[in-house]
Amino acid sequence: MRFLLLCLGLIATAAQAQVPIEPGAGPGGAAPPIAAPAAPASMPVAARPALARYGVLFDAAVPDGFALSFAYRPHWAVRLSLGGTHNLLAPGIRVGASVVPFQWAVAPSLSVDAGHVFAADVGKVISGSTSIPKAVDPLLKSVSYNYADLLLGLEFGSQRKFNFYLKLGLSRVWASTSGTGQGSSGNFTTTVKDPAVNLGIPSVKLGFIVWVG
Amino acid sequence: MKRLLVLGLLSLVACDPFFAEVDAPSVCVAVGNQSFPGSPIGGTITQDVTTNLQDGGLFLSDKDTTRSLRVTSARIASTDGTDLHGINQFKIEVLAPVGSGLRDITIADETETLPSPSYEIPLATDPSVELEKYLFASSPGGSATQITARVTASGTPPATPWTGTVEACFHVTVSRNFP
Repeated sequence: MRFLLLCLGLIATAAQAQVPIEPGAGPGGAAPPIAAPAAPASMPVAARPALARYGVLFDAAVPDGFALSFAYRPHWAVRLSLGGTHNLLAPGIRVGASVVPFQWAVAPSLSVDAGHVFAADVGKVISGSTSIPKAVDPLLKSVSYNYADLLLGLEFGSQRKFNFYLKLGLSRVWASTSGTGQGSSGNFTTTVKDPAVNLGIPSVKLGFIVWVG
Repeated sequence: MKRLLVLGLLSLVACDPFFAEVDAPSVCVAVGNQSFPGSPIGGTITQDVTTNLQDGGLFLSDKDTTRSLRVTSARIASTDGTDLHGINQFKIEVLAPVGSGLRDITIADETETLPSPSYEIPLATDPSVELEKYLFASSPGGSATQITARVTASGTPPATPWTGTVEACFHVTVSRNFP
């Protein structure tokens, strides 16, 4: 929570500073943008190396799993990503967008990610748990889920070559199962078919980006 | 850019962020080996069936959860080969627990003429009827998950006692917010 408050404070303070988020005019000014339309006359354009547009990012996250993505920077403050994930049970895909409005060594970020994890047998993981009724086992054979993350974070390091990040936030998870669980007790038989589980959970993401070109 | 940031921040705090919800569109409870009285002269027979949904491991009894329970389908079937075609009206009512202030409510009925022979009667249901109050009304503390249903058959029911299964399927939603 302190981390979130810190990020909120950083972004809110910067947003209130009324500093235009223009290429080359960021409050940090540490690194110039790509495709700067107009550089100040006192600074030769040749002295301002452009930021790389393409990169590769790797992170570990909840509920995403491990992700390896292609990153693209259409604007110096915006990052888009598309990649594959794996949560140790099943692969998935993920798209994301981040706004990093300052080119500081430690910069706040706001990110949105969405993904899908393909069906996996979750029962393999929790089969030893005594709190899960046996009748539920068939419902765990094929569990897939979609998710959306909203994250505030801090990025550390250079935004030209390499930076790593820690992000915290919220996730919505829409999980579905395909199966039929059945339990009996005396004359009663209860059958549950294809239930869905929706969750609002904390989300955390730790990773890095290597900008390559 | 600032608008985007503000919208993002607002959405973080605008709703209950942490929750769990289970949405089960088909939870069927079958009560087997139910003995129904015979009616040699025709008329009406009734039989009360009490079921405890907690038996199904539905985790409904947690007082901090929000629940919804709506019947989506129901049927009755004879399991001893008794022909049920003489029944021309069949009804399942959920009985309101004594002192609950609720009224008995019909959740499924059938008035069609059945072909002969008929060993199963599918019943029409109203999915808009919310049964959650009935589920917990039998316990002041709200922890019981018991429902008593009255099965009524009229017309020309079987002349001799018979055995059957009553099955009702529900759309169940259970959700809980976390601080």
